[in-house]
Amino acid sequence: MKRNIIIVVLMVLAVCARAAGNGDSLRTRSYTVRVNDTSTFTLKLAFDKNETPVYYYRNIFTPVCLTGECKPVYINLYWDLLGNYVRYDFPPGEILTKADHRPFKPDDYTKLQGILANTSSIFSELQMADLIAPGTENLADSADGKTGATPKKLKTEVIEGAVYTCFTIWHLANGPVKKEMEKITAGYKSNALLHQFLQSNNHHYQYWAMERVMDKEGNITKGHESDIKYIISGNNLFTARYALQKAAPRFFVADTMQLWLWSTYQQATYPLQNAILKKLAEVKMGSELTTRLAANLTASNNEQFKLMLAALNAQRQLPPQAMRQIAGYLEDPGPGDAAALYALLKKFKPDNEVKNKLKQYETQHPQNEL
Amino acid sequence: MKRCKTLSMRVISCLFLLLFNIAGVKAQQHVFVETESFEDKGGWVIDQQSFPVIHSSYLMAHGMGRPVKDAATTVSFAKKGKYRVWVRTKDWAPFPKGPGRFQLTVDGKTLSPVFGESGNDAWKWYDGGEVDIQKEQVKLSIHDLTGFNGRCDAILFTDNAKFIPPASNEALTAFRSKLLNLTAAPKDGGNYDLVVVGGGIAGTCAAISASRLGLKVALIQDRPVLGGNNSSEIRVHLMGDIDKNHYPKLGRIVREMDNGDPGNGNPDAKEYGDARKIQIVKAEKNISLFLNTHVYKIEKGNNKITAVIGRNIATNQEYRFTGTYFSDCTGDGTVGYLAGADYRFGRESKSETKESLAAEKADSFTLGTSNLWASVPTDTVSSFPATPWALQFSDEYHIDEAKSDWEWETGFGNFNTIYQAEQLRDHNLRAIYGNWSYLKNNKKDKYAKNALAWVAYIGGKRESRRIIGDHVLTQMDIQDGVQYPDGCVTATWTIDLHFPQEKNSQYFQGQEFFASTKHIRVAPYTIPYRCLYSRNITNLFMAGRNISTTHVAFGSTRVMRTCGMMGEVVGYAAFIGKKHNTSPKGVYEKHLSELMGIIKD
Repeated sequence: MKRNIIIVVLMVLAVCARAAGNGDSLRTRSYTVRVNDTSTFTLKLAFDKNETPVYYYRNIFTPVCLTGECKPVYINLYWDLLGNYVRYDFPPGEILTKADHRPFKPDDYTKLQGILANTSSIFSELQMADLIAPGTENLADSADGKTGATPKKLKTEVIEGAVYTCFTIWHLANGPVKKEMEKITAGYKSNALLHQFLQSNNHHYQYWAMERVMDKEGNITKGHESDIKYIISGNNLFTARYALQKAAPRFFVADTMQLWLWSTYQQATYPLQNAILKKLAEVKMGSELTTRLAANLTASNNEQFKLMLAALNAQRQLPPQAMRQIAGYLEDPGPGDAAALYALLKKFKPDNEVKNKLKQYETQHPQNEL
Repeated sequence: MKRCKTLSMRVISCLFLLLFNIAGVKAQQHVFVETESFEDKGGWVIDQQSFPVIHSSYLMAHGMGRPVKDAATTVSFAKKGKYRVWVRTKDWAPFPKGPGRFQLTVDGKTLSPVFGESGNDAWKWYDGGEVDIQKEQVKLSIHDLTGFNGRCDAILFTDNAKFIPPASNEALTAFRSKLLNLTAAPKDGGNYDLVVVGGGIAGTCAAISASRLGLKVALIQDRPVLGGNNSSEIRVHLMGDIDKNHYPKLGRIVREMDNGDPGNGNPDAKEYGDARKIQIVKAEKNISLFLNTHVYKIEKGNNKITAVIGRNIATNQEYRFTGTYFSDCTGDGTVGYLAGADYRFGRESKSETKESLAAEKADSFTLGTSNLWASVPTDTVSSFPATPWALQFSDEYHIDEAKSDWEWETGFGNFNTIYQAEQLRDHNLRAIYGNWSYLKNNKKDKYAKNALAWVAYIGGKRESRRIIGDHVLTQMDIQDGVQYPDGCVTATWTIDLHFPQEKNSQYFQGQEFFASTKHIRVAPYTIPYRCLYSRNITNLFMAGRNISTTHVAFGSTRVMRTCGMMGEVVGYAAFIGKKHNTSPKGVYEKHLSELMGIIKD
């Protein structure tokens, strides 16, 4: 929906009220949001007993209109603290109905939740007029040139007989009000809130907070180091990889951090493992981590062998134990490449044991001597 | 040196006894078994899609996460004794170790190595250890351990403990040919007026069209079913209209092939009418149908194809088909490519074609390949294993769908659609299984009672080579609605050029598997007949996605009803050509009015 709704927070009303649809008595604060010159609505922010903001909600009464005929819809919408739609419920006694006044079935309510939670819904590209565009009602095979969405696709993404209801509520749930909630939440920013966000498992919260505790160089605000570690070792590959890539290499320099990173590597999914190995090429590795990496050089596959090799190559010197370990693979590099191992070892200062293995290799592979 | 081959009805194996008639040199025995020739395939399927790369079909355990039944065969040994076993396989998803694990059982004893988890995705020979063969006939079986697409190309028994089978494609092809006696002359597949290679909608319509005008036709298809992308193996629905035709006669055969619209990726295979399509073709007395036959070689003279050689994807028996005309309906433009026809691959530049929708610079970007899939609701809760080797998803990003549609698409220049068809399909499988595993294990409220009903293991390709004809259809031809005198097939589909979906690209850059498009509407227009024959191979027609267009114009011509009508025209043109003893080009130059007369009739 491309309406230019200007939303202005007019005033803040501090009231004690029971949050809609919630069994607990949560304190709420109301914000009056101006939609245009003549209309406003009230957005409510609920707080827990520690005075920490928890979620937003709105009690909505809206007409859903089609070709001049309107019907009222009463619904409560809930968002997280960054304006991401979470769920809906109804005031007591209220239901949704379809075009022929038949009430929604249980499956329809389930489907509605899926529709509203889908931020990339087809509705994001449509205006109300598109829903009654010529041809759409026939659900023909040809495509809708305006949006790339086929009418058939539209059919699968809406509740039949309630297209306009879905459309109207989707835009209320995913419209520009989201930005206003972000602004309000920014006013509550504190170390406690940032901790809560970073440790939340809500990726929206985590990205938002990471932007606020990490500078451009990836330096982490003191006190939030464990929050970043929590994200890197968490279940969400995408936030983990983002935090890992964004964090400054110096974050991983201490021996304890390196051991933690190795332990994280061992638990990580394959793509995160690769991200960790790539990161190690930027990090000055201590002897403990270097030796562990060397010990695992041929344990995986060729892709990880190459990444480990690149990390080792990026070091100024390798500890003797690691060099001996690597030299041990010259005879059987597994999924790796003996010539690459040889080149790596030649780059550093080998001890006598390694020198002997290099000589053996040179004898067996004379073309690699030079 | 003498060679002999043992091949019986019940014994699908190949034994080569290499007798060196040189004093002091011990006879060396190899028993070579192609897995696709196993008598009992069990739950394993034949995959021939990598033929242009590995020059062979192979067996694959496509069980969608449930181990498939053993494949088994009987192998003949001329000599008892100790043999070393070599198994040609790969780890298809080495991230870091793939799931395609399987074991080999020889004469009831399971060999200790587990294959398919080496961490190496190259096709290689793996040492299976030593077996003591004490019978003339021994049962050999492949036992799948996971249902996740383990694959096995061939098995070699050798009594020479030091022998290592060849590694390179070239050497292996020669080795395979030698041991399977493939160098001997292929069987005669017959002589035809028109040899149609490719049994998709375009090829099938071409064959039917020509046969109904009395031409003797061979229809050669590399799968066990007809219909190509519209078969139950791929399940793409037919698009393009046939009710807006400039010449309403066209589209009649397409209509016969049309089994209704079950949508894309319908879980019910029957909706796509495989059996009905084959029945239609078999009812044509002038068509000789060769299913399971992959054409990989041609013979020609003076820029004219004289024969194509096809190999049965299961038995490896080769056939030679001679003909007056050939029609490349392979989609990949295989026949044209083998014959040296001029062709294009990828996108032209704006400066070359003057098309507003062309790329700034020419490149090898193509539309992708889909492996569609579907789950179905069930009465009971089911589980699906973790898939650490697949693409990884989370609450932040996953595809929250119980079945696929056209958007599940991989390629976009990240993979070559011909020479990396296997990797491309495998990437699709990693996306499908990874996403499904996420849904099953993390969104149980919604998916606990859904079970995977079908996942395509044959890729539905959109784009590969385009053979150049006497006319190259462009965006301007389409948008200006140019009606050339030879404009015949009416096309109606939008210019529909896919690209990676922005959000998918954000999470899987370079590994995208989900597409978007921007449909550019077009008014019905006609495709000139000159786009349907090669400009430099004088007896070669084309129908389907590999006709003579720019990449942009292909975005509109590529849909299957439109391709089917191209086939109809090719059939008519072959008839005119034969009647006047002329080439496809000669039909245009000297007999166009007669061709258009048939189409208008």
